[in-house]
Amino acid sequence: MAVSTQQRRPQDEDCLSGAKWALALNDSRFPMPRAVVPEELVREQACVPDSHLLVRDHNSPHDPAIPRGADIDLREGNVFKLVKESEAVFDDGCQSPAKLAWFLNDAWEVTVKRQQSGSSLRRLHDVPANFDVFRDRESPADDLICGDENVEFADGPVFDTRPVEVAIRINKQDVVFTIREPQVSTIKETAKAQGVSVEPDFVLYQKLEDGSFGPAIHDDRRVCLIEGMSFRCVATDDNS
Amino acid sequence: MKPLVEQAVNEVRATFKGHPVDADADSDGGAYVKVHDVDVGEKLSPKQVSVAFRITFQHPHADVYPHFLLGKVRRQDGQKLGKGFHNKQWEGHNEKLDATMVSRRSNRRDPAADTPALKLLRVIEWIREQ
Repeated sequence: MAVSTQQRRPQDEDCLSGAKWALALNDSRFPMPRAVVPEELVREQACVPDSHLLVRDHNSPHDPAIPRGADIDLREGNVFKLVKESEAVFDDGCQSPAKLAWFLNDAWEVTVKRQQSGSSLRRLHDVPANFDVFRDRESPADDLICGDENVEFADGPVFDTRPVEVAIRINKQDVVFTIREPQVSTIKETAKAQGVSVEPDFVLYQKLEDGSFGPAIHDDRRVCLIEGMSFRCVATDDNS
Repeated sequence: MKPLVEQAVNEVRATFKGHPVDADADSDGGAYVKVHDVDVGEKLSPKQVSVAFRITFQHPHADVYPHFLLGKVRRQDGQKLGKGFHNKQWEGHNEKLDATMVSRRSNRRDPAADTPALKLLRVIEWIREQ
């Protein structure tokens, strides 16, 4: 099934609003309605005993407790644990970075690095090449994450995967791929296998929407294929 | 100028946005085209040249060949320009200009896929690699 109708790149439009949020608390996942939530809401959703307080987990043994009634900004860190209120420390001098949980299909991995690339996010979750990663939004239009993309934690930590099926045009013929970011050599092999008259030594160019061609895309490059992209793949020249 | 030739010229203009492009109709429906301020790399002097070529009326069935670097072009290291380069005048629309001819023939050309803009991109990249 094609995913074209629900895929888009984050830069296409303002996509920061509506990202899904979640937090990890004592090794359980709790979806949250937005990035900044009242402490009371987290207590309710996570069934926190009244005798305990939430503690934001930093990469340090001195984790500060969240005061009752405070607003919790999950963008600052979304990994929490519980402590008995009698043992809570409210020292806010903790300099260590807060832990960040990156959720993918209900599993999560924790880092302290706020910025990932699409590739590092895939490696973090060991995503197979034939699956796309999308930033999950509160709407059907999720953001496709390509390998070279900057992925900011503060833009939303919830992602999911879907099998890749993307159709592009090469030399005016449709070619379907099941890998989102193939190497150029794979693009040529796939096009040839699907009946396009190309050879391995041909040169690939993207045809842009304004009618121009981009520069040659060499064999060692990978291309993040987006539905409807158009390419030309043409023979090299000889001296005469 | 035949519509398909004009379309090819427009594609050259779009691909080389920011570069002045002159296109004069020839007497057969083709066009003499000059793309100015083309960066041909650090190895040549001057580094920026005008590249001229002719899109004949047979387009898209005919190769765009050869290309001409207008003016005197040398290698920075004093060596000869090498294979593929020849001193030959450009004969365009009511003009003859000193030039260096670049002979890159597309022997496996697919007229359904290749275009004058793509050929120019390939020729420029080849020149930069010499």
